[in-house]
Amino acid sequence: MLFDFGCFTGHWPYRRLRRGSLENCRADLAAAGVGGGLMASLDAVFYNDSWEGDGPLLEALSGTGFSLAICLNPALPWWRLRLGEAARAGARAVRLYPGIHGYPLEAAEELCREAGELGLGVIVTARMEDQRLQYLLRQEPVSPREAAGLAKKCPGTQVILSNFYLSELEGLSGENLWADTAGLCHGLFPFENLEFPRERLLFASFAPLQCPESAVCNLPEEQDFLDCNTRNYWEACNGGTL
Amino acid sequence: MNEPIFDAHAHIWLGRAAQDAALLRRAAEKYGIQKIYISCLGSHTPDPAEIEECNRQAARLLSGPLFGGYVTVAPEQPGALEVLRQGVEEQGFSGMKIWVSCLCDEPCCDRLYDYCGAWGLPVLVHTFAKTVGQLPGESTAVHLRRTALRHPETKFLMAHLGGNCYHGLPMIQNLPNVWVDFSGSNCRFDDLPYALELLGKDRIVFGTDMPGSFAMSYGQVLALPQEERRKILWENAQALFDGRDGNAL
Repeated sequence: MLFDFGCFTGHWPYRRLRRGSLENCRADLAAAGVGGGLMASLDAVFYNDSWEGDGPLLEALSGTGFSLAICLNPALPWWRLRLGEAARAGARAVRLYPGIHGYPLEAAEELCREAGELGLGVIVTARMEDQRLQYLLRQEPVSPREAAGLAKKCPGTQVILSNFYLSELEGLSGENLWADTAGLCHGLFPFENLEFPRERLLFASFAPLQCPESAVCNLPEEQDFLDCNTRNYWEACNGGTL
Repeated sequence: MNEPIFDAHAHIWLGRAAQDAALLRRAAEKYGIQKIYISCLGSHTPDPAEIEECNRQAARLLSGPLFGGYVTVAPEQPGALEVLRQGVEEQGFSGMKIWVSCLCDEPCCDRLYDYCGAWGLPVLVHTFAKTVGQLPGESTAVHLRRTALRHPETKFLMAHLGGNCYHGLPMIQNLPNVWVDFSGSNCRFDDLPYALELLGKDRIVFGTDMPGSFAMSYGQVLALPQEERRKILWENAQALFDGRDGNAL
């Protein structure tokens, strides 16, 4: 079974998600061969205090094999409070949306460092949807170099680049830098052309925005490396397993 | 998956046609694709020489059983009908492709649709409804609706579910001469179920937009019940092309 480092649940303001409920998300992911993951609340992205979306999800995920990736905006004054609460309550990662919340990644350095001290990785989201379909709130492009730079400045924190495209990952590397596979669902045989360390790749479906089967069928036939990478990530993150 | 696969929407690109063809052949072998319909594309507003070269590149691939082809046409060009005629009657194409050089409902297109209607050839129309970067000649489902109503005897294939299925599909829902494909990297998790709900299972064909995209479309069909999968992966495209590709199973 795959571990999904990028899955979601909830509502999406730009279109109706037919499979967005937690029950449906878990069923669809299980059908695609996903046994657990870091799940984020789509609602939380748009709430002023994201805990309003994350708190209930954290409770609902208890005992499911999925853990919460809390949404934080470092530009808001209460991020430290929420980070501490979430870590104590069992959240296992922080997901950042700099393109939606509109801050430069250097503004997330303090948050990123403190998340690492609490044993939480930080996921930097490049995009949530195809730019051509974005509506009302324009998502600013997230620089992959700046995202990699965040990892370099916070060596005690594991940083995951999420939904970056193949070409954006080219030439990036770092001891605490990882990338998920969500953005590799384009083109043919993307893993053959990937210029990013394979041992730093983590599976992500981006369901329910993207189809989980699309993420799975796109993987190379030999998938053991993903299990190995998942173990290595958790060891690097907190010296143990999820 | 045991069903045969008919990919009704793929490309080779000018300047890298041989590499693209090799990629498509590899994909066919890996995923068990029996038929791939290609068109060759280059710039957004090609001149006649570029169109000629595109079609020459694509025609080279049509001799074997794997590839079928759409003639690439820039309808606004005076010689477009001759390009289409030559492509169908001399080069072995069995469909026509309109991309973004002009809107699909412009009057200059009518003579081409008449020809395709008379020959029973499907017309693949790129459609998209972008929130940013819509090209001046880029058709939406609204343009295609007008076109299909004006040419009820011609079969149209609306690409990419109209680019945004919630906008595009209602436009052509009640038009029996319009099929749709869910090709492209814009294809989202809910899109195919929505298309099935709105159109039923007979007017949806499988397309990928290879080599630019594959998994986004392919993954969607894996979860379908077998009957719907069979129809979408093969039977509907056979009906659209009237089995003229000679590869009926």
